[in-house]
Amino acid sequence: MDIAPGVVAGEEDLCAPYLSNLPITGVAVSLFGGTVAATLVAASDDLAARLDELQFNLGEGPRWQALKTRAPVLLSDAQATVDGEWPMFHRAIDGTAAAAMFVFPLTVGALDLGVVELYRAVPGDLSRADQSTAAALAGQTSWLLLRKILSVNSPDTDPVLEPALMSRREIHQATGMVLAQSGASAAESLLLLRAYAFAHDLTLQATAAAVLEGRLSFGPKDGEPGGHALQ
Amino acid sequence: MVTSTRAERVSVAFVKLTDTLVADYDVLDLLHTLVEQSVELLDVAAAGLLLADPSGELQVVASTSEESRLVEVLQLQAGAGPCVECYLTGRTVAVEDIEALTAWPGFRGAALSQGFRSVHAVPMRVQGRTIGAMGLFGATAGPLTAEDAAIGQALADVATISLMQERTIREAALVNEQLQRALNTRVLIEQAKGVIAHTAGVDMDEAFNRLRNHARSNSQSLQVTAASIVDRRLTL
Repeated sequence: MDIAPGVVAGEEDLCAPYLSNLPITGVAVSLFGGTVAATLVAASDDLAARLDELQFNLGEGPRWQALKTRAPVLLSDAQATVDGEWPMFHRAIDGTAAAAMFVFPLTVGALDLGVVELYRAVPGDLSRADQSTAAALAGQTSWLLLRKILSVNSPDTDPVLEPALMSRREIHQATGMVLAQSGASAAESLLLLRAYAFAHDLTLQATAAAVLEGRLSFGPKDGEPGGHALQ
Repeated sequence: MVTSTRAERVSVAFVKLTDTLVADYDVLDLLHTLVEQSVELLDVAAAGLLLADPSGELQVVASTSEESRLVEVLQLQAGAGPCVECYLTGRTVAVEDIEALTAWPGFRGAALSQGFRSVHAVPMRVQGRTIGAMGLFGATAGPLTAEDAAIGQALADVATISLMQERTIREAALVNEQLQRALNTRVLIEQAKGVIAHTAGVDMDEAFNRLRNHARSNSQSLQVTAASIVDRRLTL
């Protein structure tokens, strides 16, 4: 189960706000699809896409650190190696136009949704103001992605009377319950809920309600109807 | 038994609001303090605070009770009601008699069923921009006194200033950062409530009580406590 396909269909340009508000050369937005491989969903140029890909393939580099620490990783001189950190990554980007790289995590609550990777052809720091702008833009991207993830397969009946936000609160509570039941991460738990909804032609709200009411469980021993339906 | 004047209680409330900045508290703790102090000081039965998310939709981030029916009333007015009106216009919106409302039928029904008869929505403003609204709900019909209305707005203003003054804010981006921090913490708290509800076998209200009591007795922010629950470093 993967976040990206449903999310990206007909996508507005995720990269544009970064390019127009920050002193950078290129940008890539990459989503983590739960247990599945990360998926590049948008890139402003070939190098931006390649920087994401090569780090993904190598299993090392700033994108992984940003994911692990949930904090920005700022490389003002990406071409310089420091203490033998990420040797393969540095070899791979050697001679490219990626002089500086800035990676920001995409998170909402405990959900790790992905990373946004910025590069610049000129080395140097990102100013405090630019860091702040980048973090705010990353926040906006995160909420946009979350909104899309949650809206898939959940046609709210009446946009005024249906308290869509309330349902979202319940979805987050259900995510927490599934997390405790399954031992999965928050993002994986949300994807489990979403996958179950898909497979059973239910809305995400209805699936979350079933979890909250104890009618549906995702524990490893529960088999039916939870564990099984997820594979 | 210590009795205190209104003025003393008001100043205590302001100190509490600013205290949340000194200690290791975060945005959401501040907003919880704001709604709690508002109910404590003003002639209202419940209060809730809504902030705009990045797509401009209002989200309930703090309320005097996490009781799901109160939250639902707040959510309903996020779609169409006094708080969204207040947010969009940047002005106070007072409904002295909810029963007599002709607009917002969804909100009217939900509010009445919760025993609310009046509502007073005050804007949360920063640098000429409205970032959200606080709804003050009364159990009886009628306006807030002028003094209550003024104190309500002052509490909201101080909270907003406090929220934003963590660093000097010149750029809109920092306002957005703070907003997102509050919204993120709200999501995290819901996830943590789910974890507690499952592991302890309690309902969501009790889950929140445990979360908050733990945070308070350990002088920890709600955010830090919720994060350690979701990471399963802490079990409540």
